[in-house]
Amino acid sequence: MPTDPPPEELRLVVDLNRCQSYGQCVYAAPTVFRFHGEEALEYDYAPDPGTRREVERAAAACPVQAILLARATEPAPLAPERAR
Amino acid sequence: MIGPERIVVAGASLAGLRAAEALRDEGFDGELTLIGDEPHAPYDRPPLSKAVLSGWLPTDRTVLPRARNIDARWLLGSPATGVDLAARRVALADGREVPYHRLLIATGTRARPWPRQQGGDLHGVHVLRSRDDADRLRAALAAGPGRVLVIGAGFTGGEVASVCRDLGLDVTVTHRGGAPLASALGGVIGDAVTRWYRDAGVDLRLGTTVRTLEGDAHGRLRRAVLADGTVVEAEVAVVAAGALANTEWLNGSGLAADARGVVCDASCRALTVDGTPVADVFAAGDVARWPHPLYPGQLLRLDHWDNAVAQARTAAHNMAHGSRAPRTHDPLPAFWSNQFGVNLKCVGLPALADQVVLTQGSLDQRQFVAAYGRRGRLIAAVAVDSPRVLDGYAALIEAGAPFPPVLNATDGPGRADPLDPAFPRPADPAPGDPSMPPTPPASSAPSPQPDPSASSAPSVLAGHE
Repeated sequence: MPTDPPPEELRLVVDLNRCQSYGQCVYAAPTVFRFHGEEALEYDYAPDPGTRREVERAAAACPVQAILLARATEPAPLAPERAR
Repeated sequence: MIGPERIVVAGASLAGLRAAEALRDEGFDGELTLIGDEPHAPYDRPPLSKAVLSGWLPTDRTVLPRARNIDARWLLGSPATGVDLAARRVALADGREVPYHRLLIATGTRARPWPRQQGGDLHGVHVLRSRDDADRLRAALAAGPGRVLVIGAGFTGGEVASVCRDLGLDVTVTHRGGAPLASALGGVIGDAVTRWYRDAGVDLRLGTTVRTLEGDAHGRLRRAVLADGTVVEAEVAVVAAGALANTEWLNGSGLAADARGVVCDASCRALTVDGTPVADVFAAGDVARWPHPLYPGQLLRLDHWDNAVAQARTAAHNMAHGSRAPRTHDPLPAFWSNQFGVNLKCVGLPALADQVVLTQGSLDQRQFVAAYGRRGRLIAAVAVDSPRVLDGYAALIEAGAPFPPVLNATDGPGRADPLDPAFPRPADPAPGDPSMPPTPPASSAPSPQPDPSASSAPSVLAGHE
């Protein structure tokens, strides 16, 4: 019997040069994006996988398309143990 | 493409990662190796001095998304220590040697440290550039020190001081110049920024430097002695005195590289000491200095987030396709900062201006736009809490619009009144500063933040974001 796949990691970054603080992402995913002051956007680069649909809506709603969501399926690079 | 079989990217941060992705996008299907001195997967630096220090975001949640699979070999936790251009080999600190057909230098910069003989080794003295720096400083701030001393009121210094006040910590900031950010944005805007500091309750000491940091018998920081002899009691100091390019590993390689960066041409090819481009070695990101057609007669090094991304893409394109029709890297510089509750964004390079004019809003309202001109042309604009206007200014700058610009903005002043932007003069002496480096030539871009220890040359740079 198939089991549910583990929740995928969610990674994002906002190009804050391109960002014009329209705030659509804050409406779409309020636990991931927030304003500090009137115009300074802050966000979580690795939000809970349960917010994926909200985050995808936020990325789609950004008027300047400043939100990049991860597409890589490779495992994250790890340092060799001896280098830690 | 007539592909090289092995590409090595030295540097596994923003520029290195985006270059690797772009190489695959450009069709490179050979062996790809990324070398990183830190043990961490590529992470983003802008939040370190803001969301991380404030405690909102732990550093393990600043890892950059990867836009595509790159099928790379990752050699993390061991810096590159040398390159042999003739044998086409990079040496690592752990003794390994990595052969390449093409090499991208993307080793970035590091924070300029405080001199050991002036107290740089004391427990409680921090810099802020890497993820590990941020973890250490975050822990030090969370412990609730009685006072934090920030040395340097550039972008990083201002962001750290701002977070300290948000955390309710007492903070003193020293700055060599007459106003925060003055070497990047000039004294006219700097005077407005001074008010942000003072209104937030920062003890801002302008026109002075720290002579020495002093500790107790256990080697813990206790106080700083300033150039005028006054003493600041502090348990934590943050040295925000600019950055040095990570180029030591290129010493003796024959490449034109020093603490200001590695020199490359407009298509990102690294140059040898005699100015010859090396066909198979490229540079991108914070470490690269190059001639920008918008700013003739000088070499730029930009510690800007978007420059790292754009230069990585240009370098990757030229690496993948050889020298046939190389792409030129000539973007309009852009950077931003968040501090004291305001968002500051900039396009162009204000530091090259001879005039500034307030075009929208007012300095007192903390919501304004200032335009910078040079020889009658618009060259840069700074927007405070006005992020939606900058695209228009960028278009005017790229079109070579006259200065002062004619905007007819509804929130503009009745009359354009250009002022001397009040950048620090190149000949300003720097008495009593132990960390004063040799004065770089005015054509160089010595550091990413307006640098209190190197502000005698107008900084062409303005921040790392």
